[in-house]
Amino acid sequence: MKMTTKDIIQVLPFGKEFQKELLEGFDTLTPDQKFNIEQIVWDAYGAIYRIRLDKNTREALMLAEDGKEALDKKFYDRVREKTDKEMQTKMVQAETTVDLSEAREALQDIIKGTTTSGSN
Amino acid sequence: MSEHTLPKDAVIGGVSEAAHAAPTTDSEPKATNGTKDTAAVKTIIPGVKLRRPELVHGATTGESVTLNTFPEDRTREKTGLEVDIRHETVEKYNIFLTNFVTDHNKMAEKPAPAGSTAANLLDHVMQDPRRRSIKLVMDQLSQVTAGADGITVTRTINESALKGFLGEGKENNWAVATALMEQEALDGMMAAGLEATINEPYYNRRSRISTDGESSAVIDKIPTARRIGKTALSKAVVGALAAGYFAIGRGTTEIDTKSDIELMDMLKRNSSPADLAYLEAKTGIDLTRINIMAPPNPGGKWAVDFIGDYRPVARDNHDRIVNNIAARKDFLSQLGIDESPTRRGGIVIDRGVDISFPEEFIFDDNEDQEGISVRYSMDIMKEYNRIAGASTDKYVRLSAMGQAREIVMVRYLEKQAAIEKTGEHKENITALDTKKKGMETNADELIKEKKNELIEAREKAARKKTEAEARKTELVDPLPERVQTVQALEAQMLREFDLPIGGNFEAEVADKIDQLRSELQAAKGELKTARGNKATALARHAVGLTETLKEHSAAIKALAAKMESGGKVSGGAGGAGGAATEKGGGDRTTINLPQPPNVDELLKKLTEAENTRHDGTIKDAEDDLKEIKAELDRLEGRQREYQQAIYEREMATLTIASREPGQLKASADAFKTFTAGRSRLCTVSELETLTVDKLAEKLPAAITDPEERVRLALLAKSEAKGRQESVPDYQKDALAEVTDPSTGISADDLFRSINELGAILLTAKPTMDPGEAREKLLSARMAAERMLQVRYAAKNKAEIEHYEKFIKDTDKAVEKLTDFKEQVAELDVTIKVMKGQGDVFSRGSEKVDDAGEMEKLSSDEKVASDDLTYSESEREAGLEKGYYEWLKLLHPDYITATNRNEIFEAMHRVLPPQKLAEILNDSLALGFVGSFQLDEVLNEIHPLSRRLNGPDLQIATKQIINHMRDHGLAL
Repeated sequence: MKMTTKDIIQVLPFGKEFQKELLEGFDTLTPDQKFNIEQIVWDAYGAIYRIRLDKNTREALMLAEDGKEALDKKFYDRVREKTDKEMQTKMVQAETTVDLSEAREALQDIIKGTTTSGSN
Repeated sequence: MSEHTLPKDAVIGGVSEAAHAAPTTDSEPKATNGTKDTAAVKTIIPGVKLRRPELVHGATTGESVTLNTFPEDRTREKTGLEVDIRHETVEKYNIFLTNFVTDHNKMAEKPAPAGSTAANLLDHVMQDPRRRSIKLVMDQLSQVTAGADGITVTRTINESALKGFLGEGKENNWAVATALMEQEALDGMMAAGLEATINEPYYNRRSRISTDGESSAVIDKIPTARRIGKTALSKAVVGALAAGYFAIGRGTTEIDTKSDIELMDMLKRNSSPADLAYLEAKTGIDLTRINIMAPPNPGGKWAVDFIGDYRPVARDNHDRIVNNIAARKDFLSQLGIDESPTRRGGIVIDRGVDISFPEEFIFDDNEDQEGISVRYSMDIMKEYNRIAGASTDKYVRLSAMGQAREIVMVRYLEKQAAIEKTGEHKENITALDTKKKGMETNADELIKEKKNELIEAREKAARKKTEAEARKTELVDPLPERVQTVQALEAQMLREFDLPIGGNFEAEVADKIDQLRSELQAAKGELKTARGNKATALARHAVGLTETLKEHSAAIKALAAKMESGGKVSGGAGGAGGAATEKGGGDRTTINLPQPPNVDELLKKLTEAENTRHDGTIKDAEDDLKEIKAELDRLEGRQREYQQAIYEREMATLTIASREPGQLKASADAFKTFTAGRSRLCTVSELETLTVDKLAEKLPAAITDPEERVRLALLAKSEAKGRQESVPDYQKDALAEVTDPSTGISADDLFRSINELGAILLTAKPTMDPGEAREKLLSARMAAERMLQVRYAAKNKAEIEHYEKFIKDTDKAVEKLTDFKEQVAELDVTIKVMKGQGDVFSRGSEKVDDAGEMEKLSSDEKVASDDLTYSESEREAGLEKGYYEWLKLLHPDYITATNRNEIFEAMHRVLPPQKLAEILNDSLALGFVGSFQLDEVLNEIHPLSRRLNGPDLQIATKQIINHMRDHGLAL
């Protein structure tokens, strides 16, 4: 699944205020700031992916021990697919959330009669 | 805590325990010394055949993947369905199980925690769903016998069940036993950490043991600031909280027990009474009897106080850790699971205790890794407890753990990101841009500067080369001569002094000297006797003559008296016997007076006679004495000469050791310890003293020091990074611990040899014959010394060649430096890629899910010279297609650019294929060591070989981009 840095910022469980500030200001960051933050953000995404993969593998093994999961050749593929799907769902949910927040902000802007300068 | 150990006469793997003490590398037992034990008959007891796919994670049976425990991706052999587990390993596991069951049986005598419905602590433990493995083992191996009263029960180990527990087809039991061993090791480590906390609240304790578990070293205290802290997160929290880590390096296992009072407090507050009771039963640490006092003010000191008596438990726990790890490692090694270091320059975090965690990169650049990792684990615990609450559902707890880790990690990263956004941050792109502009606008001045820099670097290299050549002249070249001198002296002494061939030469010389000294004493005695005999004889004659003179005087007196009565005295030749009388004419009697003997003449005659009789003997004795003395002087002279030659040879070797890269420093220390004293006076007794006592204490710490090796490796890397240049090949070889192609001797070989030295000392201490120990020591030491010499010579040669090449290249670069076209092109492409980093990651996230794209990225097919889809420069380079795909991933626009050739050439210079191969190997942990090529690496990432995920690809591209950045900064 193709992702962008801003997609990831949206899904990371940052504090809401910081997350908003980062998303809004991302395009106005200097190239150096952007470069450094991109590395942090993508590393974090990778770590979350691995934490989930680890958790899902353990979970699947527990299920297998309880007879609720087949130990066939596709075992690890299923774990991987489940992890991928979880991450994708997370992305989609985040997008929805951000969309709503953007909509809310846009609404507020309209109410206030102002416009935001930075764009995503 | 009971501890079952092997009986002294136990037979392990078909050989006695003593024979087993010498490490073996294969299943065939080896004799320890090739002399005494070779005659012993060694019957190899068969072990157990196990099905590997039942145990190895991801191994396939051809049809399915089975429930298993150990990771396939760390294995060195991916084929073979069956493995033979040695009898020795079975025995070690049986011992573990015996101890385990015995310890747990004792828990049945302890009451269940308050509120529990169980009859006793053991039952309570076995009801805990987190401890199913314990139940499985206890159900099968613990037997209950009712007492005569029908009320009391006795729990013992079921010996017959134990015999079959680890038999063929019992792979699951092996996995369970291994998991229990790991847990026990964690418990032991935690207990040691807690004990350390009681004694010294903020320290780490480190213990190194040999991986065969035969020896253990003391537990050292080290300041926390030096430690690279890793905390056992996941397993620690799911099971019991442990602090510390295992690091298995080559030849040693290192155990760090973290001592942290806040962690201890957290453990105490967050554990249930049952957990605490179990902890106490398992480790001897009763946290309920420890008062932990928070500091009165923030940032103040915490304190601990133990209520009542306190029995130290660290030793017990330490031994348990050592035994468990050794047995487990044995087993994994036979399964073919490779724990060779790949990620951390010599130290692998052992998967078995699950210490490695994905978020560890957070600590990478932080100096206070120790402190952060402890706080980090505490935060996770807090978060975990908040999410999991009181739930005992295993799925809920697992999920809570994952969430806690995600939340805490992002919280930490948020701080980092905030700093990048609002605070001070690195301005690499700006720096590159400034550099590029300078090159474009102020070329002449910069060329001048750059040339000066190059010339300066050249001069520095020339100085280094001269130094290396001087070392060659001083150390390498004379070494064979020094060795030959020693050998020639040995040969000469063997010949001259009739020494036995094949013995311990130095001891033989010392014996011969002792023998000559005895002979000299004897010869002196003989001379003294001969001279005494002569003196005695002469004295006897003198006495005889005195007696004669006395007699003569008496006779004269008698005659004189007779004359007075009318006799006439005439002279005569009377004998000494007295006067003679004779009748003269008439009636007159003539008395002949006895003539006095000529004493001088007599003495002379007697002396001559005695000289004749004694002088021969005296002369012989004098000659003997002279001869022996001369022989002794000559031998002692030769001995001094020989010791001097040995000393010089050893000093040369030691100097070599001290000049080798840091990893050999430890060896040099060991040599110094060993040779101190010995090189000056090689008496047998001194050597033996060194052998048994002093060295046994000092060597274990000196012979291997993984941390030092890693530190040096990192240092070399960071230095190289600071200079923005590659680590010189000769240094890289030594640091990477790869076999030196010019000598065939690896650092491993060397360390093994030194380790043998230590092992011999450690195992020899109580029982080994000192003479035998000495022989082994000398042999191991000589072998290591030779390796050191050969390696040094090879490295010295490589070093000289390296500087020669550097000088040549620099000369060319100076000559060629007429403009900055190439550098500007390189900076241009680097800035472009760095600015587009987010897009690179984004493209990677798309490609990774597309098998076709991944196939392209891993294609090892070479570009044909007539393939016009590639530019002229690209065709000329003729590299693997995958290489060009990586360039496209980084900079997709370049293929449509009008200056495609120029961009390709610049990228090719910045990221040569070999560099790409190295980065991929490192970032994706592909496991290549020594020399390897890009095509091999590409094969390894082909979708059929390995399925990469998005984060894998992102890490690889990030490292490539960082390399480009570093290259640019170094221009």
